[in-house]
Amino acid sequence: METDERLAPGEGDIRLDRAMDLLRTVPAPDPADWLRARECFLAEARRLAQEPVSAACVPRHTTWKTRLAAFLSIDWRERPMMALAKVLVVIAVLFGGGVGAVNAMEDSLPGSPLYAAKLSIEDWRLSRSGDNGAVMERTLAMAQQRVDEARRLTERGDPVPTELANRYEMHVHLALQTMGTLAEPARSQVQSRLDDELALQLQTMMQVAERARQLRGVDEAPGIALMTRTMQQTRSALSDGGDPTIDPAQDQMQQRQRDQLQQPQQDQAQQQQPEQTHQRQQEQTRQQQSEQEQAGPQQQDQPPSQPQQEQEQQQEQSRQLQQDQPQPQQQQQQEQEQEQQQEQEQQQEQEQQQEQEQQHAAPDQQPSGSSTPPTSGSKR
Amino acid sequence: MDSTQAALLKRVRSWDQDALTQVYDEYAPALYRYAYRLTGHRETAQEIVSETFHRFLLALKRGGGPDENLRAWLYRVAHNLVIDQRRRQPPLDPLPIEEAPDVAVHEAYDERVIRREMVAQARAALQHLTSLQQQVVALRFLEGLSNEEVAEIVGRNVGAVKALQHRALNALRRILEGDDGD
Repeated sequence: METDERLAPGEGDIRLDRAMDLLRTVPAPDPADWLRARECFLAEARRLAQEPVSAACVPRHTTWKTRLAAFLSIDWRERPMMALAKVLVVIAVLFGGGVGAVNAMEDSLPGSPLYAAKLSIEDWRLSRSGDNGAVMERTLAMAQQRVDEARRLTERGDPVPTELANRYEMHVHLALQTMGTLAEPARSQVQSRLDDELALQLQTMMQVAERARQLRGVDEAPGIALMTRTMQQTRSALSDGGDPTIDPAQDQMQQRQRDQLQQPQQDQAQQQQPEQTHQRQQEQTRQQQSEQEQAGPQQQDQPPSQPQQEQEQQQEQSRQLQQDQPQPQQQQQQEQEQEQQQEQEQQQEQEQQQEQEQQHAAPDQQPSGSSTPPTSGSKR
Repeated sequence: MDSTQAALLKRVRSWDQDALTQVYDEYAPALYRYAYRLTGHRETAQEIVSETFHRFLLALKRGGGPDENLRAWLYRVAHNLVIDQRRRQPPLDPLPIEEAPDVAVHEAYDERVIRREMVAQARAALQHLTSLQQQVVALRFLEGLSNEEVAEIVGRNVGAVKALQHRALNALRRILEGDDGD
């Protein structure tokens, strides 16, 4: 035994020495396994050497923050499937919520809090459109969106606001302007497409109008009528072959502005209509009086006939109306003229009375049967 | 720690492939022998060696590992793995006599059986010792290390190592005498 010197305490103990000898004997390892284990060690050493830093220590999962952080930590090398599942979950949460919000905004209608954001995003997308072709596409899509909104509003039982129609008109006008900048044959193609889309939109708006009549009992809602008129005028301009880039929508807006300006004048004219009727009645009365005067003074002694009584009553009524209602300047001028005419008539009557008195003073010269009773017209 | 060992450790920490290869070739056979003497099973010993060097690389990656004595660190890890292996599963059945690697070819079958029985008795006696006593006996009398080297590996002073040796040999002697008496 080679370790006899070290086994001093067990000196002489043959069994112990022999046991140690037996335990020292070690079989050689399997060469293939040995080489394989060596290669594995060196390969692992190379792999670990390529990693820039050591792995960060993982904190104990004691709070919800650390649990969430541990869940969100991704280790592609150790657990690739778990890492992939985490990535999918995060994507689903983030983009799922985002897509839901975007869908809600895209489906919003006028009157909704999200509608303003929807329009802002539409304008932003339009401003980000590059060439005229992209602008044209975006504009047509926005116009179609307005038509869809009008249809959905009507289906919901709500009226189509004029703001929606104005915005549709703006889209059509922009589409026409953009089409005008295009060169042939692209312009002809776009024009044909615009005409087709307008035809479809017009058909849709007809159905919407019919639906509005059924649901709300309204013959013609202003928003629907405005959109329909925009479509019709634009289509007619396109079919005439004129330059549609300046006329239909713009003319329509100008026409509407003119209509809005004329509306108060019509209302004022309607208010003035009874006054004009009174004026016409006064003129008729004056003509009748002048005819009576021309007929002769004999009729003046007789009591007033039935038509004359009616005329006098009408005159009295017109005077009362004139006193009750505020009169414009023209009417006041006419009244002043009437008063002047009445004063002249009174002067003429006074002159006639003076002549009659002179005739009474000289009876020989007085024709028989003539008298000058006071006329009722002097009381006017 | 001598300068050669320090230089080798420095190269190992910088992930020098040559240094890592040198470490493996130098210490793997000794660790295999140590593990086999304690377990008596070839494949288990190879697994312990592989696991020891795997832990060595992970410790280097985390900035840990041996500070001064590389051999002592590797023996400690291997010994802990042996203890863990014993806790996980019972002692494995030895190979058949015909396949026993620790038997000389020229020995007769009877001699092989007797020898194998004696080895089993010696290993069983060793496993009756405490973990620290087993480690000291294996390193001192089977691996042939000095008391200073053993003291460095087990983390005790030399006097404590000598006392451990004394008690371990007495225990072995009693165990073997008792077995023989039975």
